[in-house]
Amino acid sequence: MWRNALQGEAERAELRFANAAIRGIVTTVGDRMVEFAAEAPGMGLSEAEVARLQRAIGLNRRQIVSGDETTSDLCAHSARRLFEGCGITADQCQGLIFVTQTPDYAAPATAISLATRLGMPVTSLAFDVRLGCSGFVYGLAMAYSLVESGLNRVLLCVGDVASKFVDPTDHAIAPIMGDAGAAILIERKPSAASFQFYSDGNGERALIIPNSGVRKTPEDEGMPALMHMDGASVFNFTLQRVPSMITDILEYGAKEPDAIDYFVLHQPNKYILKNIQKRMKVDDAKLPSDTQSVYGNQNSASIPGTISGFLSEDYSTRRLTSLFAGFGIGLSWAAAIVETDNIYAPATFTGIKD
Amino acid sequence: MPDVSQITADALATVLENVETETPIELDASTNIFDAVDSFTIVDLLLETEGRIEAATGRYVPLADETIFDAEKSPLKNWSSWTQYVEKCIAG
Repeated sequence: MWRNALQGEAERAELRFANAAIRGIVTTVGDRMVEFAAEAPGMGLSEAEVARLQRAIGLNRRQIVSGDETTSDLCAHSARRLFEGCGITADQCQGLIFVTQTPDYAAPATAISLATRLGMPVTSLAFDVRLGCSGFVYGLAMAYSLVESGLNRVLLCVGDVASKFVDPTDHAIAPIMGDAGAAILIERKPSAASFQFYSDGNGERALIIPNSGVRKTPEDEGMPALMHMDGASVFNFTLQRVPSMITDILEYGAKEPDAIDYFVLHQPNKYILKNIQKRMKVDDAKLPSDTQSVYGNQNSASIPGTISGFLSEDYSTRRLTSLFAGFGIGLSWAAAIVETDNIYAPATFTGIKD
Repeated sequence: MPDVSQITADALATVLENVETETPIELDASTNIFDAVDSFTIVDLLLETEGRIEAATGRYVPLADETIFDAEKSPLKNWSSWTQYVEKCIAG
């Protein structure tokens, strides 16, 4: 189903940077904790089925918004904490990239109002990027590109209130999704980074919100505008593509696996991550896999969310080489090897506390 | 080499205790598990089988590769293929 040949058919989308670095990462998650065991009866699941899903994909609990908060609200909270923690003001930032599938409106782009809410001047650039689980890596590369091209600082905001685009009674997808918004500050500083990108529209329907745009097709007729997932196709894509993506980015970044301090991957479920970790022969401690079980699937915020949720102290106090890998809806996937040095990385904020 | 046929059959029986299928699954060499259960059940079967292999051999053998969820190539589309696949994984 997927494109088979990756190498040799075209020049690859890959980028190297030497003068851009992450200064800080802040993640805010929804204030409402939902226990899977408590919500499962409403989805028609028996105790045995709950146990099966808990075991198979690590479902335990998740954090979602309790009211009308949007992704931009979660990101605005993260961005304010980030600016405070880094000791800068919004007007010292020249660009904002907002990666989400849940913008405030279909139009205009949410990044523009978000930049204004944060106090960024009208001389800033701001735009939205419509990507899901690969979005953090794509957004990071765009921010690095802008900084290398001349901007001093770029704010990257990523996330989704994914709980709002699933049928709450659909046990195949509703208990997976969490709500999170992360803000990442990128600034000019000598630092090495390598990125590789992949896209395959043949998998468009593996994860899709039908009837959510302009296109109408007979096969979507009558379907609600909620996320639909073909679980087997998504598993297949992940097991097929992610290990080779990791191998390729290590080669492109000229790094041995031992040189990577953390493999921070998108967090779709525990089994997938454990499988990748074992197949790639990576130590357990180097590949965190608990994010889904604690916060839910945070979509484009899952990589910063994993750092904020589980690696905050190490990223705050050490110089680290990280391999980031995002993969999912599109189908879209991307990986990066990035250096960080004592960045501002507080633990996850639960709920908006302005 | 442990008795892989027994391990795979026991793992399937355990997993199916908690699963409702449209028609009862009768296990023989040609049984197609892939099309009979959902993806979560396949993950559960992988986990159960991996756990039993680890108990029998003392090492963790990851069973999911790029073919497992492939609608055309999955070894789970034929029970004898699945058993052979597991044997191959254990042999490394």
